[in-house]
Amino acid sequence: MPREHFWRYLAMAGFFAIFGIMILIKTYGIQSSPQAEVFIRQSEYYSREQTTIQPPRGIIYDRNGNILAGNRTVYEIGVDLASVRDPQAIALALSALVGADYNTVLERASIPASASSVYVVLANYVLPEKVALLKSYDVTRDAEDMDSTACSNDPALYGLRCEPLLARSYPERDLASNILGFVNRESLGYFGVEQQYQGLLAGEPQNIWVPISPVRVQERPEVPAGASIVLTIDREIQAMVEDTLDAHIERTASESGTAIVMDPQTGEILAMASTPRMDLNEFQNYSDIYTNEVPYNRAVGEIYEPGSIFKVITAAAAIDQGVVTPETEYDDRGVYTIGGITIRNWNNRAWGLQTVQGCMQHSLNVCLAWMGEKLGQEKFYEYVDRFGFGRQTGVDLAGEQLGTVKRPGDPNWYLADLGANTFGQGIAVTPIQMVMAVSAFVNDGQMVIPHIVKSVIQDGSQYNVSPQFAGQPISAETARTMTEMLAASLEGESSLAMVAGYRLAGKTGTAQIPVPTGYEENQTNTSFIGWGPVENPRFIVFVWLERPETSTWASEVASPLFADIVERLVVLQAIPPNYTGVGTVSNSGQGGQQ
Amino acid sequence: MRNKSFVQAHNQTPWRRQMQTIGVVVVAIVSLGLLAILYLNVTARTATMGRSVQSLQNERIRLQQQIESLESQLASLTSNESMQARATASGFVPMQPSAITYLTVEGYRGRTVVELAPRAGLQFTGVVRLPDAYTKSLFDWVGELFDQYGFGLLGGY
Repeated sequence: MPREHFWRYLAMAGFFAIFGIMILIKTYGIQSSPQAEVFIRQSEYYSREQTTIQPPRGIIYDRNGNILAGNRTVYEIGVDLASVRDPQAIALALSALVGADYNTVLERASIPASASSVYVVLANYVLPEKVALLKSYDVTRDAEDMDSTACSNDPALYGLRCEPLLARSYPERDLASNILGFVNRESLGYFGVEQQYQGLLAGEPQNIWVPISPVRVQERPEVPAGASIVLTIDREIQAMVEDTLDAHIERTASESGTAIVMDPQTGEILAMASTPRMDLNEFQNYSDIYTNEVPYNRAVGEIYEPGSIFKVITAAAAIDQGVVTPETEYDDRGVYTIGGITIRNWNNRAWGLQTVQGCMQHSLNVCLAWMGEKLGQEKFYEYVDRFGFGRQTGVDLAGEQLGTVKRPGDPNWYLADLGANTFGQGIAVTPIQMVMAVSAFVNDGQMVIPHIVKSVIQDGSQYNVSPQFAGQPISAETARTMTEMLAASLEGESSLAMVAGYRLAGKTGTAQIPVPTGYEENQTNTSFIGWGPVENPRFIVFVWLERPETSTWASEVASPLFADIVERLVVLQAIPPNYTGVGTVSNSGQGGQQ
Repeated sequence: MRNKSFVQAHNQTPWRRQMQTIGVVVVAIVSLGLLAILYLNVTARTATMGRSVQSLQNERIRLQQQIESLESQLASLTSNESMQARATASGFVPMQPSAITYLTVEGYRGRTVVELAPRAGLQFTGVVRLPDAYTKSLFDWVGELFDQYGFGLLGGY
């Protein structure tokens, strides 16, 4: 090395050494400065992105494995503002194919890209068919791969993004809509099973940070899907009940209707229908369909004065207490005074000497008021409580009402209420309460709690729900006596509720509708509750038609509905006919009496 | 003494010392280059695999969504309304009670609730019998051959 160059080299080496040392010092200074944490946080923030793993919502099946509520792919269409080339083209395409508003899309797609405006959503819940049209928007080019988030093959639509996501789907449309409820776009369940089991069905969404660098890729955590649910509902029975109910609502020009079919031994609800119903895939129509505070499911969400079907409770209490037997006689003179009010029979007639069975067969208000007074107010209301009226049954559906029971000691209770309550007036119940109460007659006095979920599938296992009982309001002997008495009553009346080949027990109920000034004239609630076959009951069927116009009597409008449902139900449940007694009369052409 | 100073002079020849320095520097540079190439290669492969993993993760999510969607589509196609319409179109009519002949089968309890998963408490415990090829060592295999041909020297496995 020439000596004269030595200092030059040394100077350069020194310069670079000092420069390097300065970099090191600065680096150390930055890393130990108060702002270091901010920089570290920023670097971590930009090195990954937060993603929410939304587990698929659990599927709802009927008892035979048919899907009642599943999930389907829909798309969120948005735009990367920095990539937009032609906002007008985007607005035109989305308004033509997706139905989005042209001006709204144009306004959003024209937003200048900035640090705070990177991506905007232009349309949501777009069906795959429409996205497929976008993907092949330019017919001169190949369609964009459906797997790609790029939304179109048209260069003018560059920047458009289609993100797939899962939305609720109801393949059966309006079938069992009153039971299922629906899920809104925020994945929240409303009404029915969707609301009741929101926590189970929805699963637990998990927020995770995903590294942007592929070198730092990590295994994504397994987020378990929401639990799936198998309902006790039988799709075929549900469809049959809905069709039959709708036909009878139309035939009787009723305002609305409700029907419940329950397995009395297990409490499994096989079908539950009420009006109105709606296509759950179009849940946004809810407020147009359910106007004026109409309950979503009348079977659990509406209370009404049941009328004469409540007489089975009064009679059961009186027999259970030994106050009367089916053979006890009562001289019906057509009027009965209690608490200062006069009670009359449904036809304002005196029926003379009647047994208790005759009182039930002819549905005599006077006789039941006498029976209730004989039983005593304390015992009567004790049985009302025992049968579960005035409180929820515990059925696993959202929106269950309590009903209204006035009791002695309440400020608005009078002795006259006892008289009215004995035949189902002045007391309000839900249909599901009546069904649960009557289940005691079938299960040797034990009431079974109605339920809608048969089993839950979670973490790869199926958990079956066992029947639950809600106490024993009456003895087994009373239960059998009531069933026999009510079966004989139907036969004695040649009721329209009878079905050829099957011995059934049941009771009609025709109730005036209360208004603030008393009761409506010529408007009734008509219902029927029955069960069978008597020797081995497989079903309880409750039907209720509100304000029928063709007749105000349950025996003429509710009984045929009950019979039509049972006639089809025994076929679907494969219950062979085995009765050749009075019940073999055809339900057509028989003139039933109240 | 003369010989020693000659060797020293030979060793301290300027070009020889320069060659030594250059050699060390070149070795260092080559080593660093090799390390860099190795590092780049590993990093590139890691990035490729990482991108592949990310792609597969997205694919998995997409397939799960597709499965859910297809199940719903299938359910729509076999919905009660659709099946009734297809049955009617095929000439079927609802069964009338009077046309049914019941055959009672002793012990038959009818349809039971659908089982979509193993019942809780009855789960498969996960005892899986892997094929021998996955568990057998070379010695096991040789031993098996010996056993097979009757030598019996290494015994069974």
